[in-house]
Amino acid sequence: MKNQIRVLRKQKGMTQQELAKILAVSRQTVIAIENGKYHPSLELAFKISRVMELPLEAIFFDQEDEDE
Amino acid sequence: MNKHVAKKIQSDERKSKGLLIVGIAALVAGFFISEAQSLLWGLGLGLSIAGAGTLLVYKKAKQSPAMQENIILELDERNQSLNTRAAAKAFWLVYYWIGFATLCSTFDWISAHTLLIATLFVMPGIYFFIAVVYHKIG
Repeated sequence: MKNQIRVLRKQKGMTQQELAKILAVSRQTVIAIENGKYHPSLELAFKISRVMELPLEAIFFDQEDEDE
Repeated sequence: MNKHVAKKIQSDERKSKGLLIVGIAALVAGFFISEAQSLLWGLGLGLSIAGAGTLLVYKKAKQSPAMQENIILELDERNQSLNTRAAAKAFWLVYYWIGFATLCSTFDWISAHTLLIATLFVMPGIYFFIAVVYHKIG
């Protein structure tokens, strides 16, 4: 599973710390999600989707879908 | 205050009050059950202090934004996920440890009492070690 969070966050001019505060998680969690080391829960994924004002599928995508 | 933090404080306060009540009950029981007096007083003192201490910490946390931030980090889903993974790993390691120690106990290399005391230290030790490793490697 990959995601566009880093790119979208930068487009919104947010730091990892700011995004972490909005999502009520630690900065380490934001870093781990951005690096694809941690897959967020559905609840957190929806929160990210609301913050980024984009549907889930525009933020998260399967590695296999990308290869196709 | 964040609603998740408030819920966590409320839940932990309930647990702490439970510890305090059980601790006081053990202290009182120590006066009546002379055979287990030292055990009950030790247990009672430990539980009452732990319960009262935690209650004081949470009372302070309600007024301290910095402490509430720490609770938010404690509730962080990745932290909880890593802690759960560490607990699962520690369970199996301790399972093997008990198997090994029981074998030693069978050959009179270690008494069951010593084994239980050692397990009390080994169990959280292994859990915290694995939790730290998981938090480091993500």
